Amino acid sequence: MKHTLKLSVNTAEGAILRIIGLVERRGFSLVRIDAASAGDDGQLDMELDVVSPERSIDVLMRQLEKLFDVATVLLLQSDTYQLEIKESRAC
Amino acid sequence: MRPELRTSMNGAHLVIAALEAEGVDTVFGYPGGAIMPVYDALYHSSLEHILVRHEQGAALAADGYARATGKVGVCISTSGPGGTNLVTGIANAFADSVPMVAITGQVATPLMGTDAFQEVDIYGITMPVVKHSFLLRDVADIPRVMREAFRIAAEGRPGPVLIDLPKDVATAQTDLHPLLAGPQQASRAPEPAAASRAAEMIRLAEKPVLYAGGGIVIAKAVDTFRRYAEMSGIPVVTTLKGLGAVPTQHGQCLGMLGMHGTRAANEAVQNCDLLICVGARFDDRATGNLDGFAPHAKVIHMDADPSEIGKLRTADVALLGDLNKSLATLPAAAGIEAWQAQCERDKVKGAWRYDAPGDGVYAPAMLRQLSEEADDNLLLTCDVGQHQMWVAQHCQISSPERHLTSGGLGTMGFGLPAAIGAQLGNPDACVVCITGDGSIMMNVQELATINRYRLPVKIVLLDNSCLGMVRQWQDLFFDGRQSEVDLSDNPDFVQVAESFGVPAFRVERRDEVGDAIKTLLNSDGPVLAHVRIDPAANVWPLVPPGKSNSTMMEEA
Repeated sequence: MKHTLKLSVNTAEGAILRIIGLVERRGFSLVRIDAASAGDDGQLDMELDVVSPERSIDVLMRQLEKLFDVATVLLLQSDTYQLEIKESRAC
Repeated sequence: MRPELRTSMNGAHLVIAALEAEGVDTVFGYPGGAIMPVYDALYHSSLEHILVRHEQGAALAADGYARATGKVGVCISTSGPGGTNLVTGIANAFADSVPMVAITGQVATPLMGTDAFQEVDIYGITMPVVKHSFLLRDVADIPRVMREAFRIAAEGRPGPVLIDLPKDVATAQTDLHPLLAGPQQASRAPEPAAASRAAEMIRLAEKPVLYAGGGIVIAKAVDTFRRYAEMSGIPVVTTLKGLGAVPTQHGQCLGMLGMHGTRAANEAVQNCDLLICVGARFDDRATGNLDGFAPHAKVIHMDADPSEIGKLRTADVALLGDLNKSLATLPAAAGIEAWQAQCERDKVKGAWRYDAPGDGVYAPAMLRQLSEEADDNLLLTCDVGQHQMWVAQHCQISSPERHLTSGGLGTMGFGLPAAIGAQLGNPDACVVCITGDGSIMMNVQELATINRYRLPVKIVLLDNSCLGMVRQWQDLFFDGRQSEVDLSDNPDFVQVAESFGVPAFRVERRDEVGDAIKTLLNSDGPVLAHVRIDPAANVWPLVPPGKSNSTMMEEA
């Protein structure tokens, strides 16, 4: 499935890296990123398209919400999407 | 006027004053170039600084201190290699949800990004293994960042917070004061509708099991959990970090579940119709093959961290929030006498045997005897490997904060520094570090720290002259190809300990074990027992990797 997430981010050094790192580390592929300043209130609006064949988008959203730089996370839409992802398995 | 508020105060003084304002009394660290202003500020502070011999020792000692006391552990290093040496300890705290604040020196801001001497992007390197982190570019941010760091490290599901402090920020003049610690965030209670559904499931269950994890001690909910377990009569299995949630010798305790769990615990979970997960996270070492885990069970998942719900196993009901509040909503089970009797029969049937043949030291029996002869003041720390599993299986553990083990990350080298931190945080405890010949060499330099501070840590070094757990897996799953596991050229550990100023003695035969335990428990200062054990000994039972917990291998 491909999911489109909309994030409101408190602009802080490393915030974007933290978000992108978390998404990929938690087993999702990023296929689109848009980010722009939301104005002069120190907020950044981000949209991410993320893909995973089996991982739960609800869990990813809760993991993103835990980041201190992330103010809100919304799921805009989910579509079927074909992407080969090699997942590592614990030994 | 308080001396720390003098007009010549700089950023480093403010950092130290903030640590004092947070109630910190002990910090672990190692000085170096970029952190020198902080060490200068430390010189006249009220903090006790414990000088370790490697920064990894500082982070792991801070971790052990935090686990033993429930307070935030603090470690300090310089930039570059000082910071990278902390990383394993920070990751260890992250994996086991331990509250920690790590302060790293950084090169001055104009030099950052120029590949300066001892410059490394520790803020970037640690990002995946911190709960949060700060790069302090402005001295004016110090009061807010220090307060935030301690709040974040301790609240909800705890974890490590890194503060990277450039040298010019540390030396910048300031007249600011530390912020005072604010009120703690009110803990969250579970939704009433979810609590009602959970209560109904418990009343209807015929074969319920309590699956107790490390979250119980983190939530300071050990007493509440014990009251509920006893009131409900529901059999208890624990994770590695949940050991002691009820004392391991308690009648309802079936032992640890999972890869090296007891047969009784694994069978109870595999046969139960309701699994009540209390502060645990369905880790692969606990569940085995997830598809085959508790296949007949509905799941009630209780946790403080919303992102754990549904991560690995779908919960039929989630009780989010403070475990004390969630546990208080649960009713007694009804009509489970037959199930209790079945669990009890399995427990008796699978009881450990200690009648191993031969004259050599049988490690499980020695560990059992040690924990029986010590009183409830015993505080065990473990390294990682076979001995870690033997401790989990065979030692009597009275409460989880008295069994410090690297559960999530599995850090060889944890045991010795963790014992240092635990002893400093709990000076009256009888701290015993159980280690192996592989693990102790990972942080053997911390024997010097034990000697320097004359910490009465007892060390039991179980020496099988190999990396036993890896050797066991190579024998079982790699057709016996023993690749790079031989440690038969180990140093003489008695001489090593003595050269560090730690008295040591050898235990080579079973008939020496009784006296050895007495010597360990009755010594006033530090002491190391070098115990030779069978290099071929394995940890049983064992669920092979990728198999369900129904598939338990026993000794042939």
